[in-house]
Parts: sequence; C-alpha cells; structure tokens
Amino acid sequence: MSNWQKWVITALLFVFIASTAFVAGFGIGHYVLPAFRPVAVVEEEQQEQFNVFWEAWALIENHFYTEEPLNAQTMTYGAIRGMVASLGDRHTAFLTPEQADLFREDLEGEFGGIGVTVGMTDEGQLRVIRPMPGSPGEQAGLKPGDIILEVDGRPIKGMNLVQAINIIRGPQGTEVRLLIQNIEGDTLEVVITRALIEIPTTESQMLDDGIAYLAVWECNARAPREVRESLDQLLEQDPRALLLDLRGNPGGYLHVAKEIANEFIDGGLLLIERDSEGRETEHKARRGGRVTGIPLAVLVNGGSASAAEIIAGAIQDNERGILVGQGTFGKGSVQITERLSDGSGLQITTRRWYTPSDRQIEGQGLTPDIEVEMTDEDLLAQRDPQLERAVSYLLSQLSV
Amino acid sequence: MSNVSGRLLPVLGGVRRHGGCFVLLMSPLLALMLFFAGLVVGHFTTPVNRYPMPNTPAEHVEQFRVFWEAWNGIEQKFYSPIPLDYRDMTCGAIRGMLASLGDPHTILVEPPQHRLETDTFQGEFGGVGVSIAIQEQQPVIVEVHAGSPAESAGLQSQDILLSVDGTDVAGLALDTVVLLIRGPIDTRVELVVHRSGQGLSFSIVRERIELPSLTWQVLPEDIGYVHIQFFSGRTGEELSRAIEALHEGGARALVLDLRGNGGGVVEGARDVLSQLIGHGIAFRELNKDGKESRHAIPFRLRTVGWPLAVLVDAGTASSAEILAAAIRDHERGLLIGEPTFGKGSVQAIFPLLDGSSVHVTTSRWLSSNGHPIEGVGLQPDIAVAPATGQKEGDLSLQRAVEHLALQLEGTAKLSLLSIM
Repeated sequence: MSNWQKWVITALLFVFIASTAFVAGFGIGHYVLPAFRPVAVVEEEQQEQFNVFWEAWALIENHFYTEEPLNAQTMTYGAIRGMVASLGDRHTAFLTPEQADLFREDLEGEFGGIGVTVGMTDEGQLRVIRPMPGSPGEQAGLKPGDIILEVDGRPIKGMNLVQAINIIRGPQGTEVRLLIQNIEGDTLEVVITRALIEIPTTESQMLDDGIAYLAVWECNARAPREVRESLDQLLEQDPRALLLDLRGNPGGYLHVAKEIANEFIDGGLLLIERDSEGRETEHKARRGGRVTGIPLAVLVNGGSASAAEIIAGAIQDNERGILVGQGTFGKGSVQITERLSDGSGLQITTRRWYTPSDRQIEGQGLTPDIEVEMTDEDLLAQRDPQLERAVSYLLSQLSV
Repeated sequence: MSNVSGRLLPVLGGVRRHGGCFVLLMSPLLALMLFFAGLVVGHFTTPVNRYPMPNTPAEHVEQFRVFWEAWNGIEQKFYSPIPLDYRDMTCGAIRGMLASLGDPHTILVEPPQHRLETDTFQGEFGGVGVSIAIQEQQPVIVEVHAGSPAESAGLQSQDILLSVDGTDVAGLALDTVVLLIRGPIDTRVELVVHRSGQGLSFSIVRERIELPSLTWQVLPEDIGYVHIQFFSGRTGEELSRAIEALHEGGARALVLDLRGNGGGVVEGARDVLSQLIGHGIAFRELNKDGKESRHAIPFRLRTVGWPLAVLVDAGTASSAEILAAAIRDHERGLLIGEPTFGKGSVQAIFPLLDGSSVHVTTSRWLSSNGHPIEGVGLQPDIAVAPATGQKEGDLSLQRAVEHLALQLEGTAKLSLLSIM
C-alpha cells in the first residue's frame, strides 16, 4: 500500500468515526434525552378529560357571534387564567408578558406609576396602604384606607392585585383617572400624572435618647444593600437601641428577607419552608449580623406581609425583639415566577413558610407583643402612637 | 505574520511526521468530543413542545404551548395540600377561555345545572311533584303539589328528606337532591323521610310533572291577566289553555306581563305570537357572517282579538323582548312600564362529552322591524317609573288596566254606534 492510499483510508476512517459519533450524539440528545426529562406524564384519563376543552374551543370557532376575529392568544391566555383560578389560590396567577415585566420591575425597584402601595382585601377591594412621600399619589391627596373603585373607567371589582396594579401603572408622563372611595365613604375622582417611581426601600434616622430608627418599605432587590448601608451609618452614631419599622411593607424576595433578618439575629432559625408533601427546608441565620446586641423593637401592621412577616416572625420567635403595632397581613406562602416560552409568566405558590417556632402565618398573621391601634384621628393629626409606644418600650429596656 | 505562521508550521509538521498513527490515536478523543457536541446540538434542537399536549389540534400547537407549560408548572410546583383535580382545571380552562371572549352569555354550564336547565326549557320532567328547600343543611319538602304522585303516596309538607334511592341526602346541595328525585317517567324512586320523630319509606312511580311557565287570572272590568315567567317549549300550549279559561271567566282584554321574564326558549315566544298575531315576521336574526334571516310567526287562522297591553321592566330580556317588540311592531298592543334589559344575543346550547354544556352566542336578534335590541332594549310606549314604596301598588298594571278599560269602552261605544 502506498503512502497516499494509507492516508486516504485513514482520512475516510476518521470521517466515518467522526460522523457516526456526531450522529449518535445528536440522536440521543434529540430523541432519547427528552424522555428522561422530568416532565409529568399526562395520564390517559387526564387526556380524555381535556377533550372537552377542544370540543368547547371548536364550538366557539364554528359558532360564536363576534364582530372581531377570534384571537387565539387571548383565548389561550384566558384558558390559563381560568385553569389557574380553578386552584383557588389568590397568589397563584398568570401574568401576560407585560405584566410579567412589570412584576420584575417592581421587585427590581423602578417603574412609571403613581407611587402608592396598595393591597387587595379578602372582599376584593383595592385599598391604599400608603402613598409614598412626595409621590404623585400623595400630591393628589390619596390617603391610607382609600378604596380604589375604578381606574380609567374600568371597575376594579373582579380583578386581582396584579391586574389592578398593571392598569394603574403606565409610561411616565401619562395620566390615570381613579375613582376613589375615602374613609368617610365619599366617592371622588382624581386624575394623576404618572411619574418615574423609585421604590424607596429604606429610611433611617436617629431619634432622641440614642434610639436608631430604620424603616424598610419593600424587600426588593435593592433592600439588602440599602439596609446594610443605613445600619452602618446608624451604628456610627452608637445607638443604644434600634426600632425597625416594617409597617406597610408588602414583602418581596424571600432571600432578601433572610438577608435583612440576618443583620439582627446572630445564628438560629429564621423560618421553615414546607412543600405540599410536607418536605421541610430550614433556613438558618448566619452569625455576625450588624445589630445583634442592642434592644430591638419592630413596628408592624396589617400592611406588613410576606417577606416582612418573615423578618418580624424570626425576630419574635428568636426572642430577639418584640413586635409593636397591629396584627400582620398573614401571607405565609412562597411564590416562584416561571417565565413561559412567549414571555408571559406564571406566579405559582410552591410552599408555605412557618416561623422558627412553627407557627402558621397563612391567613393568620403575627400578633404583636404590644398591640397599639393607629386611628384615623391619629393619621389626621400626624401622630404615631405605635412608634411612641415602641420607643417607650425600648427606653424601659435600657433602664433595666 | 511570519511569527504566526512560524508557530503554526511545526504543528502541521508534527502531524506529517507521525502520520496515520497520530490520527488513529486522536480519533477516539475526537469521536468522543463529537459525540458530546452531537448530544448538545440534539438536545437543544428538540422541538420546543417538550410538554405533553394531549390532543391539541395541530393548528393550535404553537399557540397553545404556553398553556401546557403553565399546566406542567402547576402540576410540578403548585403547593396543594389536596391532589390536583384535573377535571376542575379543565373546566377552569374552558371557563377562562370563554370569559376571554368578553361575552357574558357565552358560558359553561356544569352537568347538574345542564340537566335542570333542560327540564326547565322542556317545561316538563319525570318526577314526584314536590317542592323542596334546604333548611338547616336538610332537604325539606315545602310543598306537595295537588294531584301529584307524591300526594297520592302520602308525602307531606315539612317532611325531612333523609335518603333518595339509598343515597343519604343530608348536607347535599339542592340541585343535587332535585336531580336524584327526578328521573325518567314510569320509573320508581325510593324516598325515606323523617316525620315527627319517625322514619317513613315511600316508593313512588315518577310521572310527567309540568313546570308551569305562566300564571293567569281575571282582573276586574273583564280584563284577563297572564304573567309569563319564562318561555319553555310548552308556553304556547299553556297560553291557549289560559286564554280559554280567561274567556270562560268573561275576559275581553289581555294584560301580558313580561316583567322579570329573562327569556328562555324562543319557540315559546313565537308560539305566543302565533296566538296573538297569527302571521308575519316574529323577529330577524343576524348571524356571525352578517347574514340576516327572518323568522316567521307560526301561521294561525284564529287568533285572540282582545285589546292587548304588555308590561315590561328592566328584567324583561331576550325572548321576552322579541315578543314585546313584535307586538308593538305589528301594532297589536302598547308596552307599559320601564325600558327593557337589552339582550339581543341568541345562545345555542351545545352539550359536551362530559354532560356539561356550553351556551354560545351565535347570532343577534333584531325586532321584526329590524331594530337592534342588544344594548338598546325597548322604550315603553307608556313609561311608568319603578315603584318606590309598597303603598303605591302596581302602577304599571294600573296604567295597563286603565288603558284597556278605555279601549273596551271605545269598542262598546263603537258597536253601539254601528247598531244605530
């Protein structure tokens, strides 16, 4: 065999082996691996069940009277919404691509809006929890407790919180018209120009008698850094006690709640997570938080929810400090947001969380150690009896 | 340049020096690398429908992918202390899909409600002839209908129902209990009731029970009054019986009360028109392709010639509006009361595989003269403001009676005149 013949045979062999290897790899990757992916198998019974859906779909396509052509995407989204609604969990929701974007913006920190924290009551009322200082909402005269009835003529009744927030937000500079029912029961219409809202995350100051005050408004992605910076500034002034204000904090990320709680709790359990099969995950505090020694009180109210309740619950159960104010909201579930292939999102309740001493929060909330009401008169007179009570408690701790 | 090529050349030279031996040594390694490259490429070129899509029609696979992604997300991750109910999820999906159409009349009706609805529209069903209500979680017989099989069997009002055909009924929903008692005519149903401290068993043969869609009475001044609550397949038959009875009672004029009548089977309304007008157009229908069709009043030679007034209010809707509009369009009578609801959409009821049904808005009704009804309603000829208190009594009815009495007086004078 001549040299060039050997060379050709080797080359052919090489090409053969190479292509066989690639094809084999491709085949396995393309056809075999998907079978091992952890997708739930739709059982036959379930499949048959679902035939009814396509039966209904075909009826609509063939018979429905409509002036505009049917929109398959709207129908698909509708089907997802309905399927999700059938689960009966108000925190599990479908988000259109726009809503999913808004939701992410929210947790990240800035968007076009009116700067008002709102919450949905069990009766499906959209209630103003707190207008942010200096926000267009505050300037327009919105007050905590106001109920938003309509947005641009669309009634809120029947919407969920995400849908309601979505129609209130919009590009900055545009106007939104709200129909409000105030605490006195009067209805009035306000027109507000949307602005760029940066969700204020913290507010800190030194009160009299060496008491440091730190408010955390949201547990968004910016919060841990802002909390650390605020604490460092406060610590420079040698505080003798700290007052943590979580009133109106609607929550945010679980990991953010843990990071904030870490600053106050030196080791120990922060929360317990359980899935529906009862599998537990214990979340423990790191050692070496910034404020683990001095007396601590936490201000809470009905607007303190979710991640804020995690922080408050961890502080209360570890006997690190006491809670002052009113009972908290009672959202003891954890959601993940899944992005679907077309950019829409699905917020799914995946777990429940419990306080370190295994108290259930969902539907119950936390009861403060010292209950102090905040009346409408207090609000009008700009008094803060909850803060006053917490300060006097902290002072009594110092004198001991 | 020269530097670069200088670095490359020795490598190529090396391959040449070792010849096929080197290539053979490198081959398994290369093959392995290529295998994994293939694996990765294969993996990511898998068609995106990685989710099982049961029976998804081919043309919707793309569009509907997100649904199955969501379904799978729920299935794998949702916190649910009880197992997921796929039937509920499917029904939820249908409801949501229908809701997205933005038409409040296109809805899913679950199997029990579908059966009850069918009975209502037929105006009859197989049953024993009792009315029941839920009192303190217990189904209680509140009325035993005169002449019914229940009455002959000896059931009494206030009997507490314990079981139906051996099924314990305490705590069940009213619809469920009603459906257990109803069944095909001439079949037997076993009832156990609790009466003054003892249990009593009854075995009753179901008979045809009629569900009246109207009531009637003779008012003073020889005015007949018929209140049609809804339209069933039997409304026409009921009306002819009522008119016969009213005639015997001396009636010479008719108040047709359609207040609170939300509609029903449109054939019922056409049968009524047949007896009052006898010919012409009952209503027009505009289908989704924009085609208009006319529906005739079933022809009838002998019609009721009495002066007629129709009572309407904001609860008068759908088939009842069709009827009222036709009476006015044919100048057969005046509408008295409040503006009507304005539901001019037609629903067809389609049964689904699982026993539920879908009401689908399939077309729009126009009045016999071609006026739209949807969202507009009918304005009464004589407007009567809704009563504000109990004291005023039924103002619309009073106006109708006055109006008809005047007309009767007029005809009386007229006939007197013709005699002279």
